[in-house]
Amino acid sequence: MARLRPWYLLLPGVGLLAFIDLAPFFYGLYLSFNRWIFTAPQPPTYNGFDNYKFLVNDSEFLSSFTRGVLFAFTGVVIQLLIGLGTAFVMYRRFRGAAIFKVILTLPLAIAPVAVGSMWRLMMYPGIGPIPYYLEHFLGIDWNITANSDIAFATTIIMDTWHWLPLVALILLAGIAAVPSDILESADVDGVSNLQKLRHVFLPLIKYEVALVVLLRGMDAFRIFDEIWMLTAGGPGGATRYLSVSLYTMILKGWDIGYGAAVSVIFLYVIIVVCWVLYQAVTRVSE
Amino acid sequence: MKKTKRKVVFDVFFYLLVLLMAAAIIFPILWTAETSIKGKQSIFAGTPQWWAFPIENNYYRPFVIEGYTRMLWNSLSMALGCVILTVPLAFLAAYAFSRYKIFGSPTMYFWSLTCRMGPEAAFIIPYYLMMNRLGLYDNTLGLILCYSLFNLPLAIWLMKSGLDVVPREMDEAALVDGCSISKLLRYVVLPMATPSIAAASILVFIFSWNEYLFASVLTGLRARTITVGLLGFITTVGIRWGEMAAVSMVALIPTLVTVAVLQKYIVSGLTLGAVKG
Repeated sequence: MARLRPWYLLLPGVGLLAFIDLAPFFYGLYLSFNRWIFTAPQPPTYNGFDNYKFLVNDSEFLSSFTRGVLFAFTGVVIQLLIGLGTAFVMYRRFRGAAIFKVILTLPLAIAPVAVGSMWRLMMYPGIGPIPYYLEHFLGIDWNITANSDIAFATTIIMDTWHWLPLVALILLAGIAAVPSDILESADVDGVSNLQKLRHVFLPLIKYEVALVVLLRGMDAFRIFDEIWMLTAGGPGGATRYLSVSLYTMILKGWDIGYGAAVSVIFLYVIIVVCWVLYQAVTRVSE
Repeated sequence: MKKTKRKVVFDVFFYLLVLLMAAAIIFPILWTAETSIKGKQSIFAGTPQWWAFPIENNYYRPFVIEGYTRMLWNSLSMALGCVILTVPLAFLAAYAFSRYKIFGSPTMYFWSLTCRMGPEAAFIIPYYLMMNRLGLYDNTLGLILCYSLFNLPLAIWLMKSGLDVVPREMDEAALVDGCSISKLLRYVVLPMATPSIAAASILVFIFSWNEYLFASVLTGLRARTITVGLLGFITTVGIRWGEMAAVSMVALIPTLVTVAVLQKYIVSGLTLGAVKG
């Protein structure tokens, strides 16, 4: 095989990826050291670390960052718990399991903006059935346009609806791969279901759990489309997670330099967190 | 063995739970489908209307009068363009990653993982400026190029996991027989990799079709895609719910049908081939 140069095969794909990933990254890095209001006539001027100095004291950036972390963390924990339950439901190979699996995968295909518009139809006060029935039967005032906690909860519900199937199917792949002789010997020893979960299943699906945390954690932290469609960051910025915040900021002031600085930090954080989680995934899989 | 009473009760609860979950998944989709044929008076009725009489055709205005057909066409040609650009390049790269020890291969895997996982919002400023400078603003080709940011990693690692299970003795035998590399790829590897190529093509299509953020920044009136058009119903003077539901249905049905038919690929696609569906 040695007479073949693998680089010839790699070059087109990796070259395009470099053009579309590294070039904008360095361009953004360059812009972040400049002052440039896009709509103003002045050309970009070098201003050193001014954008970054502003950033560390920018309460909007910091709070949207924490909000994003909180959203990602809550979402991933909830989805792991319900996803594990769903995976065990599917593990039971009940009648109709095949149809259930098809139904379960449906949300994964839907465009995130369409997910947002569906949940807007479901949740918008005065329009959606959910606020109406919650008010009618339980007396809960479920208003996503006025109450920030409820808006936050709704984004979690929407995200869970959209991505729980993926979590469940990944975990199912792990559970299904647990060797049956281990389970049989556990049964012979009279191990309870709870002990089986803790000492047999959980240690053996560590890789899948780590994978879920990596994929879902990253995706949730950068979430944009669904949120933009559902709440556009409101009410009062309660669902303005980092991507939404960045987008709003760019559209509002056209401050290219500052926006680029936020983008660089955003990317940097994602890459570092991604690296840590990726290391965890590879360590677990060995 | 006789079923004990406890087991029967357990089964009843089990099936109730399954039904409840299935209903929770399907209900928002059905509700949107139903709203898409509801008239204004039943949308704004105050109490949720389960049966939408009188029916109103909310599809008519957007698709016949307001040019959403064009956005649909834009989305379609853009997504097909992404498949045509990405899949062949990714196939070559996937073959190289699968068959050779490539210097820095784990680093490249991580790099493309960050392309896939990285925040799109962080790319919109450079992309907007770059595409303007290249004259590709509001151009389907510009979108296709930018989408390879997440499409290439997806297709490369999905196809690599597919090629890894193709026995390499076949390649070696062909090369020993004096087969050239292009012939090897064309007549030996390609036929065996067809399932993973198909899976990659389908997923690239779905993800490109579904994307919103880049399309909203990089397109104007000419190349606007259907996902961007969907936001057009939220206006300062109110939301056009019925039409929004109608366009949502049109935007989600192609991908929904594809995944319902080919559901086993989507999990391996979404995990970059780390989990076989």
